[in-house]
Amino acid sequence: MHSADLASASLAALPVAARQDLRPINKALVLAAGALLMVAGWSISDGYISYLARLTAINVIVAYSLNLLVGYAGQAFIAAGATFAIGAYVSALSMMKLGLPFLAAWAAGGILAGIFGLLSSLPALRLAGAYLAMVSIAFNVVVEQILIHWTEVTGGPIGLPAIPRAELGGIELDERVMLALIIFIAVLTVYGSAALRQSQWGRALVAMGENELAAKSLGIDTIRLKAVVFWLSSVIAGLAGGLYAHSMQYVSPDVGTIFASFNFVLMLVLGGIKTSWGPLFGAFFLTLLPQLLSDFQRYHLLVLGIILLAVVTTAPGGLAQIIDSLMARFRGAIGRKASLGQSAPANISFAGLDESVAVAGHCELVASAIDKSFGGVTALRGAGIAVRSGMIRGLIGPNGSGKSTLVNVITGFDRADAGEIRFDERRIDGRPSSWVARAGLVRSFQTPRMFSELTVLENLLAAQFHRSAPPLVAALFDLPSSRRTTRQAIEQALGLARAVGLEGLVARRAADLSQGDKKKLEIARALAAEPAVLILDEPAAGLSAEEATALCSLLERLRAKGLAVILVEHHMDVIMRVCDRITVLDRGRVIAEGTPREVRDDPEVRRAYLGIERANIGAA
Amino acid sequence: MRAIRNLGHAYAHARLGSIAAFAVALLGQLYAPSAAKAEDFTIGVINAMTGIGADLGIASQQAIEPFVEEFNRSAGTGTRLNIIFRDDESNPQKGVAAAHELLQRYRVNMIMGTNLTNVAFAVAPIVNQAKIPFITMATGSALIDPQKFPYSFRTNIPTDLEARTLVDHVVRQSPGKKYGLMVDTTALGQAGAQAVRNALKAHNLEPIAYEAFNPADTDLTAQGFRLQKAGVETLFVWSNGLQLAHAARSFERIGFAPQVFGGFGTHQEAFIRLAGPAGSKWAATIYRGTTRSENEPPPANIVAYYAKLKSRWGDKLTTTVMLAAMWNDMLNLVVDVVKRSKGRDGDSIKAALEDTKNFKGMMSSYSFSPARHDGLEPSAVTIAYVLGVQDNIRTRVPGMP
Amino acid sequence: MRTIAEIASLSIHGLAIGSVYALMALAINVLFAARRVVNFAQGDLTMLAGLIAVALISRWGLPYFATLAVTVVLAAGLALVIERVAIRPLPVEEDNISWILAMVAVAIIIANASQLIFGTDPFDFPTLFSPQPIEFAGVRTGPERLLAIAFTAVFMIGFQLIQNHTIHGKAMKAAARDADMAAMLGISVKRYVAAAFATSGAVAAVAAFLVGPMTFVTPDLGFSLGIKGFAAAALGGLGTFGGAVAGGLILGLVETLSGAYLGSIVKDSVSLIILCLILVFRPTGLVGEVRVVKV
Repeated sequence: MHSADLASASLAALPVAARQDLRPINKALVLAAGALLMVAGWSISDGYISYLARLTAINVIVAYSLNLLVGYAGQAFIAAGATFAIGAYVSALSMMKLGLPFLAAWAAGGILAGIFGLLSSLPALRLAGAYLAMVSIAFNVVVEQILIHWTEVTGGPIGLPAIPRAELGGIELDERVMLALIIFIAVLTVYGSAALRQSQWGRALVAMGENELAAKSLGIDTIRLKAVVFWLSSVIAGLAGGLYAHSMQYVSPDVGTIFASFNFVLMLVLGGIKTSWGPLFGAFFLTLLPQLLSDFQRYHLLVLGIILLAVVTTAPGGLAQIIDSLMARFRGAIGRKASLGQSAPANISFAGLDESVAVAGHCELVASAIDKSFGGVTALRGAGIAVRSGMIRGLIGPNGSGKSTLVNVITGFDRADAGEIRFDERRIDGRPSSWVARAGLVRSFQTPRMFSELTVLENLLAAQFHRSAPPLVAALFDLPSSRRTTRQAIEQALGLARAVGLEGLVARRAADLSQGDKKKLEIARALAAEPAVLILDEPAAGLSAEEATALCSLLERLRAKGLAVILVEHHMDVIMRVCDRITVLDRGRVIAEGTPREVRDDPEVRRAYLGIERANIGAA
Repeated sequence: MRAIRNLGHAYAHARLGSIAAFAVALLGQLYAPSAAKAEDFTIGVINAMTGIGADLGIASQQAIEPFVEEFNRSAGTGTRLNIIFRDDESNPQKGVAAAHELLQRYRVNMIMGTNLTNVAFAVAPIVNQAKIPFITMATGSALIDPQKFPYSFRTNIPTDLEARTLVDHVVRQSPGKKYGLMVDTTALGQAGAQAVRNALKAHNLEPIAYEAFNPADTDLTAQGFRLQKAGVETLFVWSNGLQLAHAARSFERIGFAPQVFGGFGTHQEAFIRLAGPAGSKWAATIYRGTTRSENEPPPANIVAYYAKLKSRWGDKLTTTVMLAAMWNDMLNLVVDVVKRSKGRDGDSIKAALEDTKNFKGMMSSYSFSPARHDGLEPSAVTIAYVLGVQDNIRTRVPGMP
Repeated sequence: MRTIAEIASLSIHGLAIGSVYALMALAINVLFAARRVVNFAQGDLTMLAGLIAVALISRWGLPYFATLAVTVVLAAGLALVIERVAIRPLPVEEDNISWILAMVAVAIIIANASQLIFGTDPFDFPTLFSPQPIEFAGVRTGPERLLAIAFTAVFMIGFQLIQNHTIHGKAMKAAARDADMAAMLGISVKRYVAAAFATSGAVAAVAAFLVGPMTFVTPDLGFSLGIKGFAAAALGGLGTFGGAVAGGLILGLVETLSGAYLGSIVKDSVSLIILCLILVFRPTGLVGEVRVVKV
């Protein structure tokens, strides 16, 4: 099955741009390049060059670990210096004070850094953005203070001099072998993070970083995912710290200061955050540039600052962006334009729907007597709704009647004050939203919540994460099981893209889609999560009349496949045409329930809609 | 289609290639040969030119540059001094980078400097491993240990000697006081704390209160408050001039006025300018050569030397005369050693250094031997008030010779 | 013996340094509200303003209040230059974090340029009063601390009045709440962002006059002062006015009191751990609105 990966029919059908993102990494090339670099490293005999090479390679490792956490996963936790220092100190002390062999000591450093990472993920469950950044600075300062003040163990401000060199099987590694080892780990890190990014894990990470709510709505367990990425990133940074300790043979608290952490973040941002080559550029640049500027003495930091500012203001995407645009110009000169899947958008069709949507088993969702108020404002009073397999339930009501709140409560995004929600007899109220989604209740959002930086295809793949995640190890090393899950997910994703008429746009960034296409993508993405109950919040908004008609057919076909659908919609044509039963909300209460005809003739409904949407009701 | 795919690959390869080119260009730059001539004696000077220790580093440079200019002018066709300055940014890791660069790229004959004890601790193993003599100006006692660091030397006052001088004086002049200890959390402060504790222990004493503060702290009221509550009458401090000026000001706010004794760092320009009247009871160890007793005239050679510096730098002069004189002594010693040395290699220079007997400098006479790498005569150290400086000459505290 | 007087004089110290943190936080918040960036160069800008003020007074012999006025104008101008050079070229997207690099680069440039221009030696800052401590009912403190507290209080009230009672203030407040809405109402977002930067620069200059007599001015102090301001802003609630005041004062008090009663070594750790705990329970700070996640 090896070379068939590329030749796989579905993959070949993709536009080139999309295929490039998914193309498996050429392991032979990586192996060759890695071996070459290691030999090159081993052959360096000049002490200064070797020192710089070791430092650069170690910084590369840290920059890539930070790219996982701050880049892909979007967690503004910038205490990499502290993690690095923990790895360095623990590894050094394990060898010096506990007498552990190098490999055990090094691993101990990684393990403790990993524990620190897990601890760090706790505040990240509640905090984001600049607040999380502040907490990470606080964590960093506390670690730094411990290193400075716990003098008996850490050596205080002077640090640990004369750390033993790394050894393997009792044989001490000299500078050249050490450099080769560090390069090996660096190549492994670059390879691993590229492989991870291309796996289902990578897409889930980016999805979480781009839009955490949407990720949860698709069943991605963000708590676990955060724990994993904090842990993984910290372990890698900690291992880099261990390599630093045993190759430089000296650590002091200065390796773990806020300044050191900022330096790592600068490497990432300067090189190009979220890119696969950026951190490499950034680490090279920020390690070697200060050395090149050392002749400027008192001016060198000023010059460095000016260069940094010049780079970031000309290319906010970092060095990777500069190089990309240079390359694009080069490619443009030889007459090739990027194929970004710019074929005309197709209308909704159903080819592929049959294969891509599994037939759902029987299920039933009953929400009853739901109360919900926000700080004194009552949003829901005794509201309820029920739907079962093979049925489309409309949920309508004037603006502010509580439709979205009811959807939020059912899907776990809000907690009901009273009432109960049962799914197949099981209470699901009070469960977190991602759990509810994994149980089979998947929703879309009124205003589309895209994973903006991901392509349409990757949006659809991310939605399958909760049931197609390969083991983390497989993802990191691009093992066959990881590729298999990706391949299967691609096939289903393409089917769904065809079903909603987005197959011509699979390689386009979600952010660049029109509003209508975003709506379509949301529906397809919700389907990709394989729901038993599909809850759509105003899917027809922004669709043309023909597209709305096509949407109706799509919904009917989903019903035929046994899905339960709750349809929140203002578009009365759509509601009246496809719904089996309709629930009408007004000011938080259910004022009517019944077939479209019953609801339309209900006097209270007419009163509620009077003057607002009479025309629509009349037209239906 | 295939052509397009190949181009895609070519693009990926080109990106890789550009990384490689970038790296090669940078590394090539690093391999560029140094400008030094073979007959020069090249000294790498690592000092903090930026960051927390920058004032000392910049002040040092103000003493080094005129010396080298003058020496090279008079050298004619003989050996000239070639100095390469490197900034350690007050960060040991940067100091290590500078040491590697100086040793392995410029192949310097000697390394001098690092005014910060923690940077010196980071740099010392690398310089010693390279078997290149290292004359440090950092005061941490453990930096000089002929067994551990056979190539490290010092002419400056080691912390142990400072602490002993202070404690002996205090115990002799005003016995039975309650002693307190306040230091910063840098290597300098911690080394000072250890040295003071040891010196007190020799008299069977110990501090009744101990306070530490971060080098970035600007308000030391809390520390002063705790020392005051503990009833401290005589306080030993170890930090740099700026932080100690903060301390003096903060103590004044809470009406805490103990007698204060500190190390060399207390004499920094920053303390003199910023401490205000609160610092009038503060005294610290210093070279005898830059002091006088109440009724003595200032030492003429120092006044002349300072005037020379003043005419060279004018308003820009930030160095204190003791710092400049220390560098002047160090460099004169180096010139002498180079003349006496059999060769330029590290071991010859080291042997010549260890062969130095009673080399006369402005601040002391210096003697080294294979077992003794701290060259200063202990009698060259005294205690003087930090404030009330005239012509850059300080007044010794009563009772100090 | 923890007498009332003792706690009172410590509290004055805490509130004084807290006032400075509050000003730093206010400047950071004004920018955060406008452009969603945390100005890591705020502390460096403050220190630079202080160095300029010292030079104006001691070298040019300008009177105190004239210096204050000139420094405020210069710092505001400098902040406008920063906005033009470092921030305007960057994309406005919420999740783009290239601004971190830009702001840190600005901090590096300001700190090192001012070190080159003004030297590394710290300067004493001129004050209106004699530095003699004052004592009242057993409470001892320095006049510059009382000045810092009083000045900050007056400044904050004035700032609030300007914001609530002038058309420009109201426009800024509206734009901070909802930039899109403000744009629809005809408020130029570009001008508003520029105004926010100028304001932050002016506040930095004011802060320099208060922090200078307490800490001296030296380029090295800038970054840590900026981080403290960021901590105070996050504690109170980023982008809020009340948050800056509450966060700054609480941080100053916690630092001073924990330093005095728990030991100076743990001072920083204690205040930061308290910060973390508060943020975990109130993820948008003490005063920040608990943003209802609109789904």
